[in-house]
Amino acid sequence: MSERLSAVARDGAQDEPPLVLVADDDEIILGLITYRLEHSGYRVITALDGQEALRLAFDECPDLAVIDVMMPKIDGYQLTRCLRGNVETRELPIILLTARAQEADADLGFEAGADEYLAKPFSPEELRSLVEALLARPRPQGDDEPAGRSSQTVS
Amino acid sequence: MKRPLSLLIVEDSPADAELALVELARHGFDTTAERIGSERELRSELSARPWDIILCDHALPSLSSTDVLRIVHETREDIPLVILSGAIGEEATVEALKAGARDVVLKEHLARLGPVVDRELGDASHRRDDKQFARERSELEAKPPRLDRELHSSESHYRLLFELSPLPMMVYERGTFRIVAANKALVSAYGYTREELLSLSIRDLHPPEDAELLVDVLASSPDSQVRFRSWRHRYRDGTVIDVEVTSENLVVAGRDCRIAVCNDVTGRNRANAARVKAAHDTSVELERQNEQLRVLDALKDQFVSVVSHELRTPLTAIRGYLEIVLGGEPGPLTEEQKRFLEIAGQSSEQLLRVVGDLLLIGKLEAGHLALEISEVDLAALLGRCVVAAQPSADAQDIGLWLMQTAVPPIAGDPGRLAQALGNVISNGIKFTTEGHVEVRLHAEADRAVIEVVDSGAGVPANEVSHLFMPFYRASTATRKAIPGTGLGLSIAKEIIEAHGGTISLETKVGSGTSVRVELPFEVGR
Repeated sequence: MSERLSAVARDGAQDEPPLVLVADDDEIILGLITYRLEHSGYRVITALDGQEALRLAFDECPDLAVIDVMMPKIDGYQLTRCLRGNVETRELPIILLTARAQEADADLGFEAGADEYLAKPFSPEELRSLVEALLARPRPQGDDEPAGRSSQTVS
Repeated sequence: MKRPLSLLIVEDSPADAELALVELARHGFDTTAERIGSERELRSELSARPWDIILCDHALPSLSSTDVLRIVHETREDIPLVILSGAIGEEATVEALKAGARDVVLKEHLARLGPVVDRELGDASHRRDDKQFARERSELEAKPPRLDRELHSSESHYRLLFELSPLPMMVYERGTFRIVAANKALVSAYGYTREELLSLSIRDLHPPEDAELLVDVLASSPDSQVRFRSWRHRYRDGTVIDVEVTSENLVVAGRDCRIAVCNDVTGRNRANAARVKAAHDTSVELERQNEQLRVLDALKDQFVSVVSHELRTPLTAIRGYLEIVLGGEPGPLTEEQKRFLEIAGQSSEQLLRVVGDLLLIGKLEAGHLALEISEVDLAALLGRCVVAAQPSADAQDIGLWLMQTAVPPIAGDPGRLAQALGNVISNGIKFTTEGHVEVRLHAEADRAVIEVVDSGAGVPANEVSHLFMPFYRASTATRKAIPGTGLGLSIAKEIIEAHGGTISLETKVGSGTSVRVELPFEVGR
């Protein structure tokens, strides 16, 4: 795991592995993602709804967020738009998760400002490699629009 | 309104004659009467002028009613004769009626006289008309017209046509709207006697509430043209009917008139109204059924969407945790544990395919499938499909053969085509317990033809048309417990058709099934 991390180490966090915020109202999925990411060397903080996720995004300054679309209080699209609209979190890499493999959903996700989009059922390994790739991607400076979009769906 | 009546009374009692006249006046007759008492006077009066009716005392000593009847008969005039009697026996009554008397009125029942005279006048008028028509008809038949002009010039022929027309017809004076002629059909339909009609105006044939409209229309219509209009007419008994009246100008005896044909369309209108109502009811019912179908369809879509969504999340968990456990991170596994978990993994894969199919068929049926078109090498694509299907063929111990000739590339969505052809091939394998499944590819004119021929169970002929319907499962499949959702072929069909191609199937129970897929080299769009 440690060799993987060397590739994704970020400014001002040389000593600590990247922090990933995972938001999903389904604790079982939350547990699965947490296990995969923690066992791949990341630090993970979790939220069971959009409101909690928003608070953690500001308080903990995660390096990346994995957000389920279907959540109570604030859904994934709203949360993404909210994070993109705020100066402190506008650069945060975001992966949206959805159970509805509809093209329209992917469009909605990208419109809201997500960097990546993963449809359920995804494999934990698939998510891990996406997290790794996204953290390694150079962040655009002073650009409102996130760069490099692609959709990944598994059927 | 007084009706003129010329009356000949054979009566020796002036008082009785006067009573009869009073009675007739009471009934509305303006009577011109002559009272006579002898045969000589009778003959003289009969030849002097026409009479409408004769009242005859039965018990005149000098002139019996039988004599009067005989004398009247000799004149060849059809004058109705009514016996007026103070007392008459039954035998004498029968005798008089036999001799040609029209009726017998007892002096003590004089109130009957008016109605009897009324009736007799009407009957006599009909008899005269009938005779006239019979004569004219026989003339017409005896002398067939040689020239149309001859026919046209003959007013009597026209009168005959008017009178014999099965459609009610009348002539009215334009200035006064008085009816001056009515044909038999009108008389018999409207319930008035001819005489009554001739004393009426056409306003009287309309329901009172239409009178104003009638006056307006008649006042505003150009009076020189043929006019056609729907009206309501009223019979004497109050029955109101729908009529279509066609009228045209006509000059009768120097008077400006119009001739009108009154076609009773009440029945037709009622039938039309009933038809319109029936059609309306039918369309309302169809709309209701359509709405029901729309609701059911929306429910089905919602069901498919909810099911696929609700299954996807737990499937993510099942597959995800299996992957982690099988990866060995939580701890080492025994070979047996590993094998069991792999079986669980395969089952979850199967479940996932079903969910994918469900979602796909929903999209296909809604026409939401977007094809990602590129150049497709069908030979290579079929090769991959056969390789992927090989393990299931091996598991059933049957042969899976691919025979192909080179075909030009086609334009299509390689992923979807592989899915469609894969479904057809795996279907063939599923239904084949011994023998083989053969996949063939060749080109025909502008299209590639793929055939998948199996030596399997086949499908009864009456089920063939259902095979491409979503969720339909052949009886051979359910009987032999061959697993499946009944979605494979319907998905294949939707995908092939989205490529502008066709899919068809020939089958025979016991000897196998042959599926033929044709794909055009150019997608037709």
